[in-house]
Amino acid sequence: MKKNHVSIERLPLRPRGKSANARFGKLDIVLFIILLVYAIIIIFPFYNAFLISVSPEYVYNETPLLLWPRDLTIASYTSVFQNENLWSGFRITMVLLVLGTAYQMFFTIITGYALSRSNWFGKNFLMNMILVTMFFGGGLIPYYYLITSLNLHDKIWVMIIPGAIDTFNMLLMRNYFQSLPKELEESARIDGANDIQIFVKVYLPLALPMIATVGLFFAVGNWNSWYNAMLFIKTPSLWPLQFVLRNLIITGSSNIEGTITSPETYSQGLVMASIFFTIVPMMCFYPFLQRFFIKGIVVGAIKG
Amino acid sequence: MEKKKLLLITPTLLALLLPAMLLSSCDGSAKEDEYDGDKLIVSLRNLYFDAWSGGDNYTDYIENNFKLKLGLSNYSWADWTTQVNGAINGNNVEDVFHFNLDSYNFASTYEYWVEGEIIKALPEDMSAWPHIQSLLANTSNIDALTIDGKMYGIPIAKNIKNPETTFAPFTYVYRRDWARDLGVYQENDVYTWEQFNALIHAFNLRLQNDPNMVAAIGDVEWGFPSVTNFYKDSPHCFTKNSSDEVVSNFHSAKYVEGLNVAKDMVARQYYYQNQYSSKDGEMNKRYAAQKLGILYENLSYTNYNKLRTDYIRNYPAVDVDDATAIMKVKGPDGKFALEGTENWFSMTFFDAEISDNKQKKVLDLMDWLLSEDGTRFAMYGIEGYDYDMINNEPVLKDVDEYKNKTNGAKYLRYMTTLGYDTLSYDPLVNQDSLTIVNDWTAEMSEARENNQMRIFEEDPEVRWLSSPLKNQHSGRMLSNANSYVTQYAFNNLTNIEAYYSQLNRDPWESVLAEINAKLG
Repeated sequence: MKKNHVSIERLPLRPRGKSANARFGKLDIVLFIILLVYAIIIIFPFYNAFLISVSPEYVYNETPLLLWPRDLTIASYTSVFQNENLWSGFRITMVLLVLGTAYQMFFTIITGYALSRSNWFGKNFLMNMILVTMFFGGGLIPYYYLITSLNLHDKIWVMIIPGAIDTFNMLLMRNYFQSLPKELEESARIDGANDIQIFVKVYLPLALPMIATVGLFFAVGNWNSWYNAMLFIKTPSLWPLQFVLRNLIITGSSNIEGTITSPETYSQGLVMASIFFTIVPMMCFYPFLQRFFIKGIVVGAIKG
Repeated sequence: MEKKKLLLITPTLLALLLPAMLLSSCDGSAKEDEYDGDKLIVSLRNLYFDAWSGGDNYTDYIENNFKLKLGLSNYSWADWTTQVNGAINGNNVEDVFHFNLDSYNFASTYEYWVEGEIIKALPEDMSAWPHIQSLLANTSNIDALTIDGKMYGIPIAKNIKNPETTFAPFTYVYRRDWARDLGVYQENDVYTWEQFNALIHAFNLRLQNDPNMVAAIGDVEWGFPSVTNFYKDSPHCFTKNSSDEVVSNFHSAKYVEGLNVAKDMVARQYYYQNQYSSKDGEMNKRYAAQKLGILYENLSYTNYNKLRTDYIRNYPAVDVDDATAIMKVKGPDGKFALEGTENWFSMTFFDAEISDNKQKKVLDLMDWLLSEDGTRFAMYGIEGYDYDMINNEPVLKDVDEYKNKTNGAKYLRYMTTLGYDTLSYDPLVNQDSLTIVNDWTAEMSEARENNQMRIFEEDPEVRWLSSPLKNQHSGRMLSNANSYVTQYAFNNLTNIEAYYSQLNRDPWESVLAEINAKLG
């Protein structure tokens, strides 16, 4: 039976005819315009926020939708950089980022690995118990009681300990470990490696793309976390950056009584400068990890 | 076989253990007093717009004098409700805490907390705390807060110096200088209804010659449409008709008459067209950028002072008094119209589990903070260190240096009274702004005494009434009605039938029937 084979040579690489040598076809131009508009929609709020952060109040008051910079000032940034609460929030967030991410990674990786191994007693039961938490939560009040009984109120650990395992990330890890050949384990075992050696020396190095991806998920989650702080942290010096920012935005955006700004600054300018203060570190970090991020997601999604 | 057994036993054990674990922290008994040395430990959490947790010299001074160790923290404005409800439901509330309470969440919080023994009643005999006693005596609608003869918190007074001031400073500021230029200015900023309309019309014409200006008038977002104030009888859901029957304010002929005036003003483009979608604070910004001729706003000292400060900073050449003049408008009935309000804002509560001793010690502290000595300490700090008494008046040694200090007593006093009563004492308050606001208040109080002012408010009997349907629906009904009002004014609901039709999607009839039945 003759195969329905199509020769690669016969496929035109570019449309022939009048525009055969043109770099872009009409469709490309349409796509380019659509994507350009989309890019503007994405980028403009950042641009506008940046302009507000470097504009004096009277310029912003005239129109909040600034298109071009005018009478630039760095007063808002000066004020933000002098704001002890933001720096304190930054320090706490860095602790969460380093300590929290390491802690979460440790538990997620070992759980994912254990659940990816051949059947052992109680594996399915444990897996189902973990899966249930993905669909059903205990609710706020039991969670509150749990935190109270663990004596975690007003402690930085309340933002770290409860998040040891994220089910979704653990499943990604487990799937990735499952996708690696079982023969590697068998070979290592023949060479005399024990379980821990197999995990550390064989599987862990191979799982680096997924570790980077999950690590990025956790890092971004920790960088953005504020909810536990809102509920359980009373001491302002323990508030993470995002919670400080949230309070600043809400008190700054609404015209509530008691909002105090220095004579050179105004609430919206401060809010926008603070937003940049919080997003710039993550924006700088993200591009370097993006390639792992995409690769890891795709690989982890192959096997369920 | 063993595997099956284990699979059966494990979930059963977990199911048995879980409630036990959860209930282990539900201890209903009173908390034992704890001490740090000779100081009684008290946790206290309230709302303040700056993060503050003590640690200053002034708080230390108070702690030493009152033998208290204060654990201080703040609620954040945005998460106040979540934080308080989370702590209450999680049985982890502070010894003393602060919560927003008004008639619309009275039944679902205050009553519920009393019934659930979550908050502790004040001692029946309050004579040991005369300043608190006086504050309670001057609190409007205090009976509504009394359950079985007991008070379960201390209402936070807006203005204990003038407790009789029960109207809100929700009114207009305007460009007096523009009015003068256009020949429509009225003496002492008092405008009749016709003069007010003529002024708006003149401001609207001014738009043609001022490309920066966008509209004659703008209302603060929650206040739109302010012109209905001159027609309606109630600021909220319910009012009474001539037969003393409780009816819907938003369905009433008076309200709809005012609403039609607003709709007409929107159609003539007198109102700022962004009013429909503006966000919090936007109108203030437009006014502060000289884009509006008139602004309706809550002219509390803080808001008014901010508006003036913005003008002084951004337009130093403009006379700030003329740019932010407070306008006094008489409605079609020839009277000023202002919204009635309670003279208190929220309440300070005591956890039901704290000891009588602890409650008394906190009341001692609060009472002292309300006294002359305590107030001076909160406002001026320590005599000989921060201020000297000159001619029987405290005078700060160095205002700039004092500004940079954190006086924790001021924050603590705020817990008791919201601080508004201390504005006239506070050496850091801008007295120009305060004088203008106080003069306006005095003038309006005089107008009220002379029957020249109409206060529109919901009848307290209705407002504080607790009934199942009202408790369940009235908050949502109010918010929906306000939305339909805006839609009607901006012609998204094109006619009055469409407006009524939207309103009637909420259970007005059954709620009103229940209220009227309960009131007999």
